[in-house]
Amino acid sequence: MSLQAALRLTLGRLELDAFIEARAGETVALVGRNGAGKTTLLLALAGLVALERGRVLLDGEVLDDTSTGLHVPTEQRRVGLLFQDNLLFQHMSIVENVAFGLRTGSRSKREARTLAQRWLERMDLAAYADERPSSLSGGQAQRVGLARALAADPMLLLLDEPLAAIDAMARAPLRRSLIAHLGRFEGSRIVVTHDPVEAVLLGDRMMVLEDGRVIQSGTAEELRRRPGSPYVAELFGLNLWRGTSRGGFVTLESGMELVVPEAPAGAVLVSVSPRAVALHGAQPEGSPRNTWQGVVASVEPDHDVVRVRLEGVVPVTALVTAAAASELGLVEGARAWAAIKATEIVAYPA
Amino acid sequence: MMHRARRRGDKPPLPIAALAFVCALFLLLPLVALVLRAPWGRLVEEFARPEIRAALLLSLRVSLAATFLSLLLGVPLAWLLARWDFPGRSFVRGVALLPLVLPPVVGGVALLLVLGRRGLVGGLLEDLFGIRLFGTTAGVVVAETFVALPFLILTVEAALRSLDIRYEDAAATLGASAWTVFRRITLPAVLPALGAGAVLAWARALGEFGATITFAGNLPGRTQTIPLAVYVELQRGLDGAIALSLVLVVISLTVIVAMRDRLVSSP
Repeated sequence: MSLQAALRLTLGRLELDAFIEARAGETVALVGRNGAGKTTLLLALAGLVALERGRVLLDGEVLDDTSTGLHVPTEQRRVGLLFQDNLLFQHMSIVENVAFGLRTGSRSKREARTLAQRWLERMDLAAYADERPSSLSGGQAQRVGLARALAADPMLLLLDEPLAAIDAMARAPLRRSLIAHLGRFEGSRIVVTHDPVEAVLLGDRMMVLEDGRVIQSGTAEELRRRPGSPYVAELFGLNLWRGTSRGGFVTLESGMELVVPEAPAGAVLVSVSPRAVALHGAQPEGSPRNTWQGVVASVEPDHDVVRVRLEGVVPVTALVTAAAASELGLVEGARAWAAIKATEIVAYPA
Repeated sequence: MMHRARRRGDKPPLPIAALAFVCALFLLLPLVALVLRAPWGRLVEEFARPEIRAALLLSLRVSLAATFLSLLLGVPLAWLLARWDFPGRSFVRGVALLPLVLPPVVGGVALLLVLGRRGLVGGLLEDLFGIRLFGTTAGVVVAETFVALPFLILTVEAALRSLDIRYEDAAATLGASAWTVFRRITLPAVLPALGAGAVLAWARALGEFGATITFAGNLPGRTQTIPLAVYVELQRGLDGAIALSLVLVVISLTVIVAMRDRLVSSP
């Protein structure tokens, strides 16, 4: 039950041109900024948005092929879609919601109800069967939405930011529940998210969409080690600069030169963890040669550390302890020196 | 939107208050006059008169038929206008709303030209199916439907437009065909608006005068509805006209009270 889709379409300002692949049982985490085309991509796979050019192949069956004009309508696709705001039918009871996709098949009303009830039991929601969706909490409603999508027996499951509308306290339990139920689903899944933690926990593989194009794809670890764009670097909280490497030096776009012994020659991306960036009150002496001065632009507490943004020749983010931050007098507008050891710098072809 | 009433102690400027008072009186006094001048003692006798009984029954039957016809034809058009982008859509919407502003008597004349005995379609209807609309009860239904339709279309289309179309998308991903989606998702969601539109259309059909008298004539028992009977009674004396008018007033007030939340959003 694998998916291969080449999608090309224009919708308003968005120009989507993406190829997406997912094996049976695989979860692809689709990440990207707002407006990057994530939701549109899902809608196109579901057949709810028309393709200009492309081909969608699910489990060997062609769902869309613009070269032959073939288009399988949404209701015949067996593609399940879970929306961010669950979209339960408000005029139906919860068990009727879950039974909806079962009844559109050839099942009788009673049979559909029995099966739906079983799905609710699996989700620990059997007690709510005859209630209206409005009586559920956000997390419960999202589980009913998942049960409704799964009950229709899809071959591909699309989840559009399933946790985004859930309040922080309920998010972790719902995430565990999602992982458990997705694990039992045999088809491919695509989860749209903008939370790297979610992408790592839910997805086997990440795909990054920017301006309608897939700019990077791989495991979370691969992306974290070598972020291919400022967005990916931001996602993992890393510093990323573009530059040109020659003979152990990388010249950044700003003109600044970094010592990077193991950089491949040519155009490179340079990534540095904010934990590897040391801040000093005065110009540091000794081994780290990669130092420059900047002005503190923002200071944000981040759990047990402080995230300091330094603007200067090269803008950089550093993570320092709260104690260090106050010792160095790191407040907005203060001057500080950033220093990075050459061995902490990862450079790779752009 | 902020909605705030002024404090109770404050007084509005005098000219505004005076004109507003005149306006309220102007709207209220005719109703008061009807109630005061009503032949309360002989009301039962008035309603027992055959021509008045006939008008009441006919109005009820015909207005309900017109409401049903408006629902049957108006809902599909409202849906099409709300959901499909076809060439000439705004033109069709304009045409659908035309009876709202068109003088009903003009509507009656226009209906005559199409559905009258020598009209474009009327002749065919009579020759092929033996259906006569001019001067018949069926003709009254047609005239009332013509003026009532816009109320239904307007209400239902607005409701369909405000509906989140993603619910229909969700239903489609669950295997529902376009017809199932319409029947099980769209229609239940707009049911309140459907009810409101139907009540408005019914009230409009009940009060219809101009198109009815022009297109269907004024035949007691066949085409003489309450408003037409009021007009005829006026030539005889006031009592019958007032009795019939009271019926229409009571119905109108009931509709307004029942629908006050939908017609105006009061705080």
